[in-house]
Amino acid sequence: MKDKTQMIAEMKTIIKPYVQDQEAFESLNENTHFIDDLKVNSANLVDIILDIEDKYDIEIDNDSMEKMLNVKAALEVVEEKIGDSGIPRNPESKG
Amino acid sequence: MIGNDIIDIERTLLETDWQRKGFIQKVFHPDEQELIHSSDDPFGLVWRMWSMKESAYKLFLQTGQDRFFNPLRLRCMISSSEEGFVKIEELQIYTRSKSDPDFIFTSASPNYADEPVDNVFNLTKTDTHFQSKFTHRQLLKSIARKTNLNLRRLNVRKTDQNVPEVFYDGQKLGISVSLTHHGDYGAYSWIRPIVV
Repeated sequence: MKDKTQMIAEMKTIIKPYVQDQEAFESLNENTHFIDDLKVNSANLVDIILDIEDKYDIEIDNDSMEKMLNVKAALEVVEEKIGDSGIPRNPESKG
Repeated sequence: MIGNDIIDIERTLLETDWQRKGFIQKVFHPDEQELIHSSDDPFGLVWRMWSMKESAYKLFLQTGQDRFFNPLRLRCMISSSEEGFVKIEELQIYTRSKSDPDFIFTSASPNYADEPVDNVFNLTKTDTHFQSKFTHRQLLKSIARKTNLNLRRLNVRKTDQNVPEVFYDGQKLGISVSLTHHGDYGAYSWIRPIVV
């Protein structure tokens, strides 16, 4: 599993084209809110979600999308979906 | 309660590709997609329905709901070239949209009879902090004019759910307001409580 710093760096690359507040973007952290802090246009939030789907080859249903208002929630959804796609989150060793 | 939303057409053409794979499915219910596909102006309808959903969502938050990002939870119904409804849970929200060559503006209120004060204006700078502040000022000036309250004692604050509220000398007024800005345009809407 990738570490959090790497995940945040990847997330920053995805978000960058849609950011309208560069200062907030420079200091981006887990608690950064897409709309309140980065001033992302809400239609572009759909783009961010589609870009995340493409990047990680996952499908984000609308129930999961619902929470994705800040970086932390977005990371959680990605982790959960990567888990769903076959990579076990809590691998149990059998043997 | 009131909600509004403005869409700068030129800016939207540059910023968002609604025909991008997956976009429509994330935003519109199959019934709404059907309307879009059979429309002779799909672009106009996509963004009109977007502004209906956005303005209804803002009103919905004023009922004390937590924020969420899921346009599918709001369902649009078109009554005429201007009027429509948005349904969310038990609420049916009435919308009125103005389509101009340069912008689409929608305001949302709980009843047909509501007559909000609203105004669309040009913004001279694209900086979002400036736009937000300028839009607040336009709203407060309108309120001051119509209520004879002293403009300098009025201010706007936002709740944790990002709902704007108007205060006079620190005391919350019983006025519902909504603010929006995008590209070269800003708008405010406000409404006094109905006195029976």
